[in-house]
Amino acid sequence: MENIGTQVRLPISTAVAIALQGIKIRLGRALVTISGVVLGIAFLMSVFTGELISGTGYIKGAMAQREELNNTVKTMESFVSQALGSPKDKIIGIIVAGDLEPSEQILAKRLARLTQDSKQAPKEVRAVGLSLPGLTRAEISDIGKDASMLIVMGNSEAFTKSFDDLTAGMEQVYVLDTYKPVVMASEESADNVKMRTYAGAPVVVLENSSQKYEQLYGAQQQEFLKEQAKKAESARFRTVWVMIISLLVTIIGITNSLLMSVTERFKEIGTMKCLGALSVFIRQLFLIESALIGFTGSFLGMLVGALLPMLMYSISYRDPATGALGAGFGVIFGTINYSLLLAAGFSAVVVGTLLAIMAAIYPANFAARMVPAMALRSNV
Amino acid sequence: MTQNVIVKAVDVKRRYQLGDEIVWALQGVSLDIFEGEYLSIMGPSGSGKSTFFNMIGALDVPTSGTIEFMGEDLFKLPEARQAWIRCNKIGYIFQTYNLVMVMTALENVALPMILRGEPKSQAHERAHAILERVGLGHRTDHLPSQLSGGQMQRVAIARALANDPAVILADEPTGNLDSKTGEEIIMLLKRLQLESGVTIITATHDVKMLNISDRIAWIRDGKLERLDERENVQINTGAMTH
Repeated sequence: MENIGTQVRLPISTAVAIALQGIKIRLGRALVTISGVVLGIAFLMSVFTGELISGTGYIKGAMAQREELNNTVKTMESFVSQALGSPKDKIIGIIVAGDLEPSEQILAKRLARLTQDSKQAPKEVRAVGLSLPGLTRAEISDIGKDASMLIVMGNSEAFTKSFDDLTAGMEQVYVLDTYKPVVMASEESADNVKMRTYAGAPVVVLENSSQKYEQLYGAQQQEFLKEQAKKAESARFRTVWVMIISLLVTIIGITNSLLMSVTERFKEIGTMKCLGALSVFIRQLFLIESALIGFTGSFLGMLVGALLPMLMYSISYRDPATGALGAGFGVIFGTINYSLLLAAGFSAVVVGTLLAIMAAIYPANFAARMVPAMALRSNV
Repeated sequence: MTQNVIVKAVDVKRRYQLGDEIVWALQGVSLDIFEGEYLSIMGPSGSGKSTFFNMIGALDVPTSGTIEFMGEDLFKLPEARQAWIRCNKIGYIFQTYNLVMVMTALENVALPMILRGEPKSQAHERAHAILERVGLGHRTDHLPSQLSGGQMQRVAIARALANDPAVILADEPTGNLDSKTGEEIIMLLKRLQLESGVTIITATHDVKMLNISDRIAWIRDGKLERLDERENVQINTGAMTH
């Protein structure tokens, strides 16, 4: 009588081919499983993309940065209005040294726009080194003549040399040094400012110092700052919490989908075993199928989770200055941090695929170890 | 007929745990099955015949006792050798056909060949020939869901024949078929036995099976009640018809 042989281990390509065929024929079922993965990963990804757009937590989102910029401009504007009172019929001079910060650019534009406002239009806004419609071009020697305010943009250090000449004839010298990321303001006597002693005129310096800030704006503003810090802290906590929850939702969603798709096929597994399939082969079959489903699902989910929030934010975006809709696409798609988005997308796909494989390990092992008779008997 | 024993069951017992209750589905069955014979395992449902059938086919593990297949203790063999036996030496036919629903008739029949490492083209070629032999040459590319019960059972028979097995195990092969189709299936099995000398073991309570069986093993309450040669069959049919 012939000897009993040993069953061969099949190449992985056979398992891939059979798994693919299973997905193809059972496409409807596979799509249900895939959509489970898509939902989970899309949720995870949209939370992250939302952070990239408007987050105030660990990731400073593009919108949050924009808001901060807006606040900086507001601070500068409120300083101007405090120092000047109403700008009506006054002369303002602007000197630009070097490159302008985004906040300075916005301030300059706002000042230019001010000249079109009949109620509070200044007599003249003149500028050196900056041309905007509404601004008068001035020579550097004339810049301070009869002016109520002189604003220095860019790096004011560059102006110390000829500053006395520029400010001659002015009652007060206001220096807006917006070089620092956060603009603070302070009014001091000339003696206290080391770098600038300008012919007896009181000097107003805006710079990065909370102590000076307090002197100008008072304790209330200090409270406000503390409040802001607290808010940022709780936003950070909320971000982490939402991330953890969304990861859990993803894991449970994916595991559930795959568990279902394996358990409803016990009978097929039993049949395969009857026909001589090894446990290893059964295990491979399910892990490969899960990996394929996991990869497809997380790739789609990643796209949905990244694009949907970007579109939604774009559509609902209002220009902070005018409140107008429509500029959102340029702003959101232009300012979002693409390298972080890409890294997040890549991780989401990897996480989704790994989760899908991990979720399949238990049911695949369970199925592979099953005695054929039991697998055949089961009715799900 | 040669009297080589191909399957030898020795005092096979099987216990099931149903909740708190322990049920002995098999209470010590010993039976020699000869090469090339047509053996029917008869018994009412719940008698333990399907359990015994599963043991012979290496589909379930006995609580105690041994099954020898081709002279080897089946359940002492490592998994890869058991799988080899299932793949190369046994063909299974089930009441519910158990075709792989995502594969066409042809792919179902080719599957046992693929699983033993045959190249796909060769497997498909042979599968086609076998399907023709069972009268399904014209429906090779249909999915099981597009076939009738009788056609599905023919596919299952073709699949059981795929690797030229020594034993075909048929568990209630006519159970889900109307009597005419059932008869056709029975005749097909008998023809295969005569043509290729394969051992056929069926678990059934279909009396139509009795006329073509060489021997009949009656199982009741987990025990082998009686073992009949063909000539005694007629009398016993009368006794069994309730």
